[in-house]
Amino acid sequence: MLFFSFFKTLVDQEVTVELKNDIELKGTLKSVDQFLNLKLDNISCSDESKYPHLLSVRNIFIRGSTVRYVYLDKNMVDTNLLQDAARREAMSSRK
Amino acid sequence: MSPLLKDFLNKRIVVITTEGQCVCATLEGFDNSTNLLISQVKNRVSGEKIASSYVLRGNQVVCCGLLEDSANPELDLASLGVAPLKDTRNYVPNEHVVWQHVWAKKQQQTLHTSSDTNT
Amino acid sequence: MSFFGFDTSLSGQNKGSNRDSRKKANNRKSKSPEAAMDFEDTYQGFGEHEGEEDDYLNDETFGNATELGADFDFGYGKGELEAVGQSSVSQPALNRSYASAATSTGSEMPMSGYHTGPAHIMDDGMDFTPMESLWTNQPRAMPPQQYQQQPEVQVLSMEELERQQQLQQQHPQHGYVGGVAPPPPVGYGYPPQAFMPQAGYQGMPQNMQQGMPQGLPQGLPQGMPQGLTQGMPQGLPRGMPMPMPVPMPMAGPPQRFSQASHAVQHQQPISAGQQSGQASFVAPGSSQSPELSQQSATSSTQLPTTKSPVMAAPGLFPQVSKPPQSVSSSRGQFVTEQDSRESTPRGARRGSMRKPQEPLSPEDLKRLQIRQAKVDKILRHSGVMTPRDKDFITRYQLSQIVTDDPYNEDFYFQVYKIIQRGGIVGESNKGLIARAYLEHSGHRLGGRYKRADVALQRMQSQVEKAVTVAKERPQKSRENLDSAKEGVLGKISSARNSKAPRRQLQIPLQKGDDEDVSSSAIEDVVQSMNGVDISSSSKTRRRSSYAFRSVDQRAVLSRSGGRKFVLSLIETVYAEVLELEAQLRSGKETDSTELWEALHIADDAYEVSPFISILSFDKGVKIMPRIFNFLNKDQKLKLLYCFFSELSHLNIIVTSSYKTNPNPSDSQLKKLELFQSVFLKIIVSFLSSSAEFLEVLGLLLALVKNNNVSFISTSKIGLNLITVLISRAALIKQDVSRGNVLSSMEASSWNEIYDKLFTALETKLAVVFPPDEYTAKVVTASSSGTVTSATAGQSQKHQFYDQSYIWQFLASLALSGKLNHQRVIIDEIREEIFGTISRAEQLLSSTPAEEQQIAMYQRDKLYQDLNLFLNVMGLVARDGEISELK
Repeated sequence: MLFFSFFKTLVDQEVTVELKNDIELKGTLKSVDQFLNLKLDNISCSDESKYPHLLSVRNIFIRGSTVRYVYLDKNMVDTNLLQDAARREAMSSRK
Repeated sequence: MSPLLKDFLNKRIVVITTEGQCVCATLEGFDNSTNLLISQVKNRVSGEKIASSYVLRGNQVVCCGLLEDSANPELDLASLGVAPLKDTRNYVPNEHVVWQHVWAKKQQQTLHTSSDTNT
Repeated sequence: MSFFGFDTSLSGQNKGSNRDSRKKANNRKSKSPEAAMDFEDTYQGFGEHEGEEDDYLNDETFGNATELGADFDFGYGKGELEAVGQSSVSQPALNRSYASAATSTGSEMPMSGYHTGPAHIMDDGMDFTPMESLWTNQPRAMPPQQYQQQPEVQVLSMEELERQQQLQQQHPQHGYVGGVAPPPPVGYGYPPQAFMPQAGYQGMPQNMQQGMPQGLPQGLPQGMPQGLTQGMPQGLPRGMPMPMPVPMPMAGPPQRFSQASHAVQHQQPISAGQQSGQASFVAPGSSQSPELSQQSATSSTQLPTTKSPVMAAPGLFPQVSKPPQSVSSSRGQFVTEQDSRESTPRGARRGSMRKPQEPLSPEDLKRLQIRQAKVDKILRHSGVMTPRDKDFITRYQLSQIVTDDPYNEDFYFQVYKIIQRGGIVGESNKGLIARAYLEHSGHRLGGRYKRADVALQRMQSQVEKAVTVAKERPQKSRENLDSAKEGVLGKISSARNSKAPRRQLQIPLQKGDDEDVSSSAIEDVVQSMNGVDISSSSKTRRRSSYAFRSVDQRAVLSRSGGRKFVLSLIETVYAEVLELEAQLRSGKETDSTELWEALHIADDAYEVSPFISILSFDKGVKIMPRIFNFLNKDQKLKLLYCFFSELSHLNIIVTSSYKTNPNPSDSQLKKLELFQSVFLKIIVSFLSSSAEFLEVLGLLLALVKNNNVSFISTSKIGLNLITVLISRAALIKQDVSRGNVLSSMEASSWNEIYDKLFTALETKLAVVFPPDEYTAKVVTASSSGTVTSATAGQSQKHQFYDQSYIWQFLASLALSGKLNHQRVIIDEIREEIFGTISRAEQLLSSTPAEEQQIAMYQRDKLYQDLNLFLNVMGLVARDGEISELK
């Protein structure tokens, strides 16, 4: 649940998602579910000339399992808080 | 259940699969594991009809995007020189050869160092 | 949940009570879908050897606790009824009989035109009234009107039944069951149970066989097993219902079908028998046959054309694929399938079909259509899942989203949002936790480095405050002071210069006094710290820290248990703090004992307290403010005592001292900033809010006694720490609002400890100023990194090392000292004073015109820092000169 919780805080932020098929999509994160499926709005494809498949697509659903990276801005993350959340997760799983 | 795809129901979508296929279709249904029931399936690039309805296993789905109404762009791509999409497996052809190489190098190095220490 | 919606237990509500006992017996032996079959008749004893009691998954698979609910009837029960209903409804004149039936079922009656397929669920009166006609002995070919009248003969019994039905149906989970189960064959002496859903195909033939010899093809009964007659609704063997749904005979084109029905009508038993007997979809089959027969009866008159598409539907669209849906009306199903084929909205289709046949007034029609659309919507997928399925899925879904404690499951999100909103409104428990993070991550104040300034500013203001108070003092004894100070600064005539400040400091009498007092005074302080309870053993153990400088951090770590141990310690501390915060949030009492133990502050097992090593790590520093939230004052004092005693081991002191670390790296400087912003701040706020004078003294004593003070003073952090302590002590001493003056004991302790401190620093005061090479490096490192506080756009050569902390230290040192101390200080750092002044003056002359602005600012800053110190002695430096304050 930690990453679900984490990604929820990124909603409405601009992120770049790199997929395992090397497509990079930049867009506003609209929602996320517990599988870390993502939904982006206003997407733009980093290499549109090569992959025009998504040219006329603005709103996209991405299956969480095919995400390789999500690039974030540094100040979108509260690392201290994230560390503590991770600790709590570890604690609760230990119990 | 994941409601993320709900907005796409009964709309034209673009689906990219893990195999690198890209199709246009109407989303008829989906479930929690992203299994998709799609109809009027066409190849995104060529516009060629593939099936009238199709169930796509969730684990084959990479993403599906909502086609905007404004343009009717389903056929636009055929003329462009479109590079085929990659699959998600990133399979390295003849990977074992690479590792053989690495292994051989390592062997050589150890030989070198051992011979260095010997001399 | 039952497998495929099978319900094996067949609750008695739909059966005659006389069957219950038998059913139970049967259930025990075989909990199969056919459990209600009459075993006495059919059971051959095969199951006797199976120990089904051990088959503990059996219930899970087939379920045994379900009531007779959404049973797997493959279109038999209700579908059949509805189909029958439809057939009668399709008669144009049928409205009348419904009116009478409506006395029991209410106004919905007319709704159940055959378009309304699923709606029949709502009003069974409808469903059964036409049904009845099937079982009456009325001749088939009777005209519709006559046919309609027929039910009235049995109105009373029907109504009774219908009420029962309604009662059952009002049980929401069994809506369609209700519709299915209570068939009206009362008139024929058959109990309603004969129409059990499971018994669907069974029941039908049974009825046909016995109740409707005329109405239905005669051949039907013959196809049925013998054992399935009266009172045995479940007659068919278990294996049959599932594979059977292929309605092969019905798959033909409509014409053929109608032919078949005609054949049925003409009592050609074979085809009809196959349809109803072999096809699992007896519902369509059987319902169709009456319909067909009726239609054939009436077709010649009214509806031949409109009827045919309806009939075509079942034939063209085998229902194999949708057995569970057969629970809903068979007609509805057909229509659905047509819909899916033709992609036309069902409602529209319905509407279109309705018109030619609907005798209702337009308003009624409209109303009906609207209602129908609603009902359709609701019932579109009705029966696909049992209520239990739905419930299970709902709960599962909810469990994914909702937890009883979102804070536990969704910690990051929850706290992050509070922080983002910036709304720590009020002091809710949540707010407290968020505050803990806010303290050192500083979202709202633009990042952590501004925070650092806040901490420093607080210290600075403490010093300044003390200085302002002190300004008043020297002026009262101006005469004495003037000669001394000005002599030191070389402004006074040589005659006055004959007074050597040093000698004054070394007055033997005073020293003797000090010595006398010292033992007792320190005793007092130590005693006052007894609440803090530093065991003597730990004191001796830590003596060693005076001797060595812990340049090598690994050495320190190894002496406090090793890196791994310390890291695990930090995690334990975090776990404790998180636990405590969770308790705080849930409003429980917090108990910091375990946290205290985790800190290992009073732990003598290691040469260096593990707590000191905890502070070597960033994350160890970061947790400190939150630790302080939970410690009581006593514990805090102990913690700080330990901290000051072993200051020399502190990693941050070592890395921030120009002696041990002449080339600070960017990351080290960051560490320094972090420590300053976090830990120094705690100390400042603790000292200013809750520490007593003697406690401050105790901490200072711990620092002076156990550490090499002159080494500590070469580090920025160390100097800051000393400054904090002495400025706080000075402030308390001066605090007029404190009411009571210092007791003589307190005063003498203070003098004693101050002398100790001063002695340690004497002759080495100049070393608090780092050499130029060092400051240059710090400036370079910080300007390349993020640590700098320099304004953007300022060219690098104008950045300078901020010495304000040094002047603060000197100011507070001078503030607390006597005149002779002040003289010593000035004497030792005279170089620096004049150096600063000349640097300030050069700034203006050496900078190009366009940067004068910056230069002015820097000059002012230099003077400001310097004057903080000079003001203590009633002096002020400006425009290259030092003059008296006013």
